[in-house]
Amino acid sequence: MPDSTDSAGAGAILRRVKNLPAVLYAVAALVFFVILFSILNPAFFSLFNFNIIGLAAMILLTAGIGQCWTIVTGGIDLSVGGVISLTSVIFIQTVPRLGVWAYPLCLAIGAACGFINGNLLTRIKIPSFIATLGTGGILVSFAYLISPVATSAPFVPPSRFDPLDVVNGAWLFGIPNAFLIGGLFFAAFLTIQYFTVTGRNIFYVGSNVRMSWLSGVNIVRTKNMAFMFSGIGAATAGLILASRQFSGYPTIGATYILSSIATVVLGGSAMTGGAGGVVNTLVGALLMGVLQNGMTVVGVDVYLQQSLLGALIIVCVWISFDRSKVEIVK
Amino acid sequence: MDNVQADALPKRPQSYLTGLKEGGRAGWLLAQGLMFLGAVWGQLLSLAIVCLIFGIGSGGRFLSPDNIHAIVGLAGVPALLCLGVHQIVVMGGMDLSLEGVVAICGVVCGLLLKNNVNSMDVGFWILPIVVALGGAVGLLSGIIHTKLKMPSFIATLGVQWVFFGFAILISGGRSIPIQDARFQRLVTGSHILGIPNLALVGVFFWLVFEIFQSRTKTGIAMYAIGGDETLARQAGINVNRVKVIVFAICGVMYGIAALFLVTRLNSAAARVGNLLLFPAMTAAAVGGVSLTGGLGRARNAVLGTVIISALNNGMVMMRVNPYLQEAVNGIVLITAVALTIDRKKLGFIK
Repeated sequence: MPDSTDSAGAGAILRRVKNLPAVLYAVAALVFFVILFSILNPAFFSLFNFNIIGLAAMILLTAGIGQCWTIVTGGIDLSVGGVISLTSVIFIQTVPRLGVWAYPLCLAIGAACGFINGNLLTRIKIPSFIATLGTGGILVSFAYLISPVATSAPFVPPSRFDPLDVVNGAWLFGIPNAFLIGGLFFAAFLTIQYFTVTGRNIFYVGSNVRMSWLSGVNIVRTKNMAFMFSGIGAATAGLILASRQFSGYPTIGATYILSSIATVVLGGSAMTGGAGGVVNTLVGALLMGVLQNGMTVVGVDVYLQQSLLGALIIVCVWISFDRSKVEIVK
Repeated sequence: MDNVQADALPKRPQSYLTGLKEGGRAGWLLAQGLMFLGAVWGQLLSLAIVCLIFGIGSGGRFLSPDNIHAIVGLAGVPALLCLGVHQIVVMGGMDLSLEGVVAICGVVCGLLLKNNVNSMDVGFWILPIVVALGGAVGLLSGIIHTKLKMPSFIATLGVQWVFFGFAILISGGRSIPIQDARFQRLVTGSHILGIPNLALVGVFFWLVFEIFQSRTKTGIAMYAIGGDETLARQAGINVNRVKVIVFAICGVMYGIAALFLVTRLNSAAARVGNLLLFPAMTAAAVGGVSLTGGLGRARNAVLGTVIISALNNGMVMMRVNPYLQEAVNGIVLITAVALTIDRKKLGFIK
């Protein structure tokens, strides 16, 4: 009976496609959009433009990788924008005096912010989205307090440009340092995710909190670490942004709350936790970079882009949300 | 026959009868009043502390009639927003779409009222239009949340960006001056007993919500869902329907608040909604609406708004740095949530 075997075959193929890892969907979407934008505007497909996309993607990648672990543990970090704003403002204030040492200082501040977020969640037991909403607001207001001019940004004096070469230079074969930083960052997080206890525990906690608690995983520590890495990621993004613009101001991070979440969910990490990870986020960051750049290149209004991204997040979460895991969706 | 049956019925409790006979209507009102005070004594205490600190700190100027008039008038719009959003918190959900909905409704108000951008002039018809628009967006959030089975906070976060983008798009990113002065007079005036009109609107909606929450099927079901959604479903409540209705009501309140916001300034822009979500959430938390759901009524939302309004006014009066004020609000939000949350219900906190 050819008919029945045909339909069974089709069903099997469909099931196999459904069970493919989410990251492959994201890669397919990436290829699709690159081809689409290249057809709509041939100028899109050029080395010059890919360089621009890459730089934007590196900032998204650093902010997104941190965010992705908080989402993998089942939480969310809405303070990413606040951390980016605060670190960029502090960086610009301190770099004339401290030179290159402003970089580790700002990373430490980012880690401290993440540590506070983590403890609000694990010890005071406030759900992460409301705790980080609160700390995000507090951090932005600190950025305003520290920044000398609220609206027009302070600049690094040209005589002090040297330390910024850490990000702006091209020390290795002419590859921009920002790419190398992004690559190193990715490699470091990949190593932590696959080869350390903390990295594995983040995924165990995300897939089943109760089970991992019963098997002796230190949940408080794991979640604190996830939020601390989120703070470090956001601080790195803030440093790259500030170095490339020679300036830092309190509103610089506002759009990165949306973009970092979009990066994570576009890559296929599920909001329910336990699925996804660093590789997904890399693909998500490239996809976001291509989408943002491509929509501008083909002439979509910049505010309509924001609307489209919002709708895209809803669709992606709808597809990737694992409903077998939660009985009640609140 | 009737008499026999009446005798067979169990009698009403004696104390209730005598209370009603001796105290009459006044006694009943007193009892209700005491019950009301019992439910919100913590909030009244914090309001008293705020008033005391700023009253002493400002040398009495904080408690002058003019300043109280200002506080009450400015609490009007946040009260409407908080009345909307607190019901969703009661159901255990979260609504982050506030700023986007206010932005789109505000811009539509600007474009439809008499302005110098286009030739529209709908006059007072703007009220049903903005109610319908806000309700429709709320409905959309509710449907995305219930039908697509997504957590409400991410669904509404998406909705917020979609509509904020639309608002900037249709307004062209500029402010639209409104040339209909009737609305501004109405919104900023105080026609009855010198009470600001906005405060009266706030009180009106407070009473409407009190009745909705205690007398209607949907309102009561809302608390059942917030208490325990599984039990509510097993008891035969159509959970999704209730949720969608409550989200729509919430959207309506955002729409009305947006109308008042833009007519008070006589200028509509997409950024009118910026920085409104935070005070509304803080007000709900300070008023005692628990983030775990099931607790907190309209009176908590209104009282919370008055406390936040008094706090912000007091900080301005004491010349606290405006950016530090934002930080204080953030700290108040986290503290209030930490105090009101019911940790027994959460198990593992995400």
